[in-house]
Amino acid sequence: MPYGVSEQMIDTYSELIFDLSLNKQTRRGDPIRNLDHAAWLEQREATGLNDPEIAAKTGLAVEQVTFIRNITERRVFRLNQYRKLYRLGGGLRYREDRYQDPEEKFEMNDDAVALRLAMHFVPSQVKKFIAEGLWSAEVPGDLLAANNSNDPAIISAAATVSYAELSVRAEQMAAGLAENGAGRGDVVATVLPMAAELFISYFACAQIGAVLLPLEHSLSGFEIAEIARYSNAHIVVCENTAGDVPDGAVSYHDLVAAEVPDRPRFVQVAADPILLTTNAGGNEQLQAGIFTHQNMQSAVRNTAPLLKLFSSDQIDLSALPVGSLSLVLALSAFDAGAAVTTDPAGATHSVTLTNDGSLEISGADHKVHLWGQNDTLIVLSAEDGHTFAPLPGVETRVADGDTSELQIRGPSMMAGYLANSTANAAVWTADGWYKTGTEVTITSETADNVYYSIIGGS
Amino acid sequence: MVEKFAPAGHGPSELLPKVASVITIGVTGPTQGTWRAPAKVMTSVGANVGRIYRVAVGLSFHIESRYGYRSIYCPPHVDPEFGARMPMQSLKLHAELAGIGARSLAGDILLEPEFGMLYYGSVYTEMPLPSDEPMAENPCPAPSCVKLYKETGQTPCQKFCPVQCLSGELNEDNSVAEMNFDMYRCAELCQQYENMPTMIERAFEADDQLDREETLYGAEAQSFFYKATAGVDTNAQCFECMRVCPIATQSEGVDPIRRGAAAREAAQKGGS
Repeated sequence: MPYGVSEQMIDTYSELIFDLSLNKQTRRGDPIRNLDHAAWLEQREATGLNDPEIAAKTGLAVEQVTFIRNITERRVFRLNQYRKLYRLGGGLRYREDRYQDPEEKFEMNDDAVALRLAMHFVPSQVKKFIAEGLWSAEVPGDLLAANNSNDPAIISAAATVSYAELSVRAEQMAAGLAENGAGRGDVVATVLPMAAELFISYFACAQIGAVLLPLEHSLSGFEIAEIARYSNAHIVVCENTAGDVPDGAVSYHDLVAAEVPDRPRFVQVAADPILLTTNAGGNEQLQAGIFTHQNMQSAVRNTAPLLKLFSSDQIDLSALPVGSLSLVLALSAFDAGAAVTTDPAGATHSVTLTNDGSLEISGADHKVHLWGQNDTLIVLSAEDGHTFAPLPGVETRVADGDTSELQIRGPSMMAGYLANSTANAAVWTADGWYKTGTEVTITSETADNVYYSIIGGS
Repeated sequence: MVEKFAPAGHGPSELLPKVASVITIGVTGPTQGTWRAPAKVMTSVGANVGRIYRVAVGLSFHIESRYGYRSIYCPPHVDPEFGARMPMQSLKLHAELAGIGARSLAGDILLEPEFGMLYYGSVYTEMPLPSDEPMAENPCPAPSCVKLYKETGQTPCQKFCPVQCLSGELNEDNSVAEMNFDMYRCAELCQQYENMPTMIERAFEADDQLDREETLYGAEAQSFFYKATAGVDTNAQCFECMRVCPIATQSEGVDPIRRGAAAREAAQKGGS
């Protein structure tokens, strides 16, 4: 108890002493300049007293006043104020409403922290990806910022959504998600068809730093609830909440009706998680792979040139299940300014799932096969339809031993499974390669590349 | 007069018992370029306080050696043992009574109509000198500030303070009726050293090692330790109230470009 001051005494005197001290000063008129000593004396207390003067007034010892004042200052003071000023620049540049406190910006709840703790990348690989430009600071918001045209982005039988509309609706949905308490690192499970709603959800999640968990429309309410529980989903978004959906599910249409607040935009961070994919049904062994923006964007950078799409093209994704691969193809189409469609009639390009597990992309005068898994994204391509080569930055090898399993590492590989150490241990080798479970044969090798034929597997 | 207005225990005679005169000196603030710099640059190079200390120290030696009177350079520092940012001696009081500044709406920062915001130093001496008078008029608020106050209820210094520590009211004749200064808000921005104990306390109370390391080694702590160890004079002012003050930034005497115009013109004529 310094100087005989108890916590109760601090409670009793802190506000009084603080207000009497120089911490709060009021001057009326101009008494010193006018040499009006009487007027100055009259307002002496309001101008701020020193500690001996406060002690004389309150009956406390000077040491007690000093101690209580110091403790009160410590409790009242806010840290990091200079940071706000420095970031806004000062003078007429200064706009308080444009500042987002870093501590608030990176606030995450326990579930979001758990998801981040489940992410693992090999440091030497990350160093390589960044050095080679395979990972960058690119985020989905950049794509929307670059293309705000009225060209069609998503076409379905019901409606066409332009790029400009995609941007607006993503912002509205982001506002709706935020209103529902979703924020940085929170999982947003969506049960939406392969249509505008799904892609808008992806961009909306990116805007608030949330993580999209896209689920198949065909899942039952019980299955959805189990997956949502397992993945600690903050919110489940359904197209229609009247059907077989989990309790508490939110309507997509309600979310996009939200009013966009006039507040600083969330700063999208490329190293943040954006996607969670599921490989199994709703049980305890669910494998939910985590992808960052950098994973997704590197896959898009590799895939988009192979599609050879132009802004007038439309690619039909209706044959694909909802998941990471369909999202990569959609983002690759957006990257080219083309449209994604679920209406085969108007499509210039189709996507079909082939027997060897690859995706055949067919255009009028171009065809390419792409191969990948939910956990790897697209990692191999074959112009001739059967001789697959790794995409840029992707390293491949065939496992030693009885099987000829393809093992992969590369910039689009997931960061790991959420809360599933058994599955994580099963799919990664000790030296950081992902075991695809797919058997391959090496068809040819050059100094620069290895070419595979896919036999089959998971 | 200084003894009369100084708080008990803080008059000049506490330092120099036979003091006869207080000499107050002012030097002008930043260059025009500095006033327009981003805040990080402004806080780093804005202050001219070092110049005034050298002048005041030199003057005290000069009076003793040339005139034979004991003199002392008035310490410019605060005395935390006696109050919140309480100065040992009020340089502001000296300057105000000597007529080289008047209290402004910006937390009582003194302003001089020709030289704007000045940095002050004082010398106490046993040498008797005739005294000057306070300024007859207070230049604050400037007409443009009154105009903004009437439109918005705030003068520029009040409006642009990053921590909103300033408020006040004007009389009908546009003189200052009341000036309110939440010095603690100003201090949490400008007196960064005061936050050091809080940083240490946070480190003790941190939930985990990463939080503790961020508290001790993060931007706030790094910034403080850099300033403290490098002796960078950024623990005093953020300048934002003065940056938007027309008296501080636009008066003839504060503007080296305008001050030097005649000399530049003469040099050009001489050269042509």
